[in-house]
Amino acid sequence: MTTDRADEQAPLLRVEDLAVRLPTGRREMVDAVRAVSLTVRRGERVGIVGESGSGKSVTGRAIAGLLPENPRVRVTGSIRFDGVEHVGAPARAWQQVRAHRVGMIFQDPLTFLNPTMRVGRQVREAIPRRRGEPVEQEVLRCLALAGLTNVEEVVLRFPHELSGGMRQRVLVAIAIAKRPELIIADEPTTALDATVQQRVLQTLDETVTTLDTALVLISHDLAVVAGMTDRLYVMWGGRVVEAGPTAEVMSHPKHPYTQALLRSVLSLVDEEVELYSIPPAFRDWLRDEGAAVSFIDEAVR
Amino acid sequence: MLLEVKQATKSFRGRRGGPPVLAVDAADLRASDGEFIAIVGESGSGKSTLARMLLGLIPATGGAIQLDGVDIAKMRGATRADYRRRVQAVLQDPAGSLNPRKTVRRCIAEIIRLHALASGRDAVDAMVVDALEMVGLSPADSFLDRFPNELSGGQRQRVLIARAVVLRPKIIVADEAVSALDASVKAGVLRLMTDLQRELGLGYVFITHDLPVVKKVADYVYVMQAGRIVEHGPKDRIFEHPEHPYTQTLLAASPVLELAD
Repeated sequence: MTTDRADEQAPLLRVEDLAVRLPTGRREMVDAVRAVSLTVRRGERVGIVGESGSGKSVTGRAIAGLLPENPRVRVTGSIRFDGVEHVGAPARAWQQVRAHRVGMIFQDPLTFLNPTMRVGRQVREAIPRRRGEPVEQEVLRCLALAGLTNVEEVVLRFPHELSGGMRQRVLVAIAIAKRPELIIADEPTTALDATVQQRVLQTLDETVTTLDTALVLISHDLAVVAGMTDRLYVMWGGRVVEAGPTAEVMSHPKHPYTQALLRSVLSLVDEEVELYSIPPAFRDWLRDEGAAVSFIDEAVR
Repeated sequence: MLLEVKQATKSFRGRRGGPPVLAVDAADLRASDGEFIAIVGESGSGKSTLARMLLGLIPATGGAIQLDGVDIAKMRGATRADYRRRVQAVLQDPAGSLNPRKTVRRCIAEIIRLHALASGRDAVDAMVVDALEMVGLSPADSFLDRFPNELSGGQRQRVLIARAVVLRPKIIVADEAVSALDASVKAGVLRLMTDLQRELGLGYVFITHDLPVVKKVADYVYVMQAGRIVEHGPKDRIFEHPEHPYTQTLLAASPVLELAD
């Protein structure tokens, strides 16, 4: 374990040449992540966008330290949080960091929440014990900050008694309860209706601004990521093919894949253009050579 | 052909002696071949219940569903078989709608045999190949002996569409058929659906919460909220001049991709 915490300029999170190999069968392995480098500075919002199978979620889980506990899972490269390396470090060390400084929000609140425990207790458990602080007040404060109303009532509810949007807000409350420096949100609103999605994103936006928390937002939905982030990483086939300021990537995509992805997304909303699907031949080219080329904005390096 | 919902109601028994739940409340809807209609609404609006009623999977507790004026609940024998053939379903989760133990060939062939559209191995196989080519799974030979887990999400959705169009239906009821797909794959499947609309004169009842998609492909739109159809009209009218406050809320909430340029 190395430390360069003295360097104030060091980003909050620096991932370099991350590769993750996952077992898919008795003998087969898949290279879910092949070469991912990314940085997140304090208070910054970073988006990772990609289609299913691009490796975006595995990247998120690797950063969160939530890959399956299987000796056949191979992680190489470097993941440094606040200067502390955690690839190859003992799991306990990273658990300490995760428990206090990194919050996570996932797509499906029902699998993340404990069905047998009231909401209040689940939030309370996420609050680090500090002497003398009234925990109950803090629970209510977190729930209110996550955009829930009538919080005295909500703490007594079980997860199944809440709507999908409310459950997702409870996840936001749990994620912020420890005042994390980084929140990793993997498809936080994909399962929600549009009106609810909009409100939850707004809450997330306000919360990370209020707490000055850095955010890594992972989604397949370009519209969601574009509206929420300062910088954007585009993934395909386990690699980052393009990275740069979000507005720049969206308006002047450089990698042919980003261009094709944008074209297909726009073809779904623009009535003037024909529906566009990325052709299989293009994906073959990506696999063989295209994805090995990347356009990483200099400012990002 | 006209598939019509007339003042149809579906109520479910309430929980623990509570009041019954009106999932669909006095709905009126008209779908015909060649026309792409969409039912939009949020979770719990009753749109999927209405879809299931159109497919005859759950009976209406009030009102009626009629095919060319004949109540589907009263159909028997050949008339019912004919309705079963002409109105087909494509549902959201292709992994759940396909038997994991059956190959693509088998899952389409058994539908052909069930409806006695062809007999003899070669004739059935030819129809299967034909259907696969029609939905863009080409060359069809390379897909025949694959199992669902050997296909991508978009390919599975295409197999479901092939299984529906092989019967030469007039109307396909598609419940969130593209919602779970990535943008590019979604565009591909929608393209296929609109191509089939043009080539075969297919009609769709497309149930979704995805408004941008509706704006792109639908001809006529029904908006559902809490079991009721609160507004309906030609697509352009609904998107440009929504009258009901709920429609306005829905339109304002759909995520818009804004480009800096």
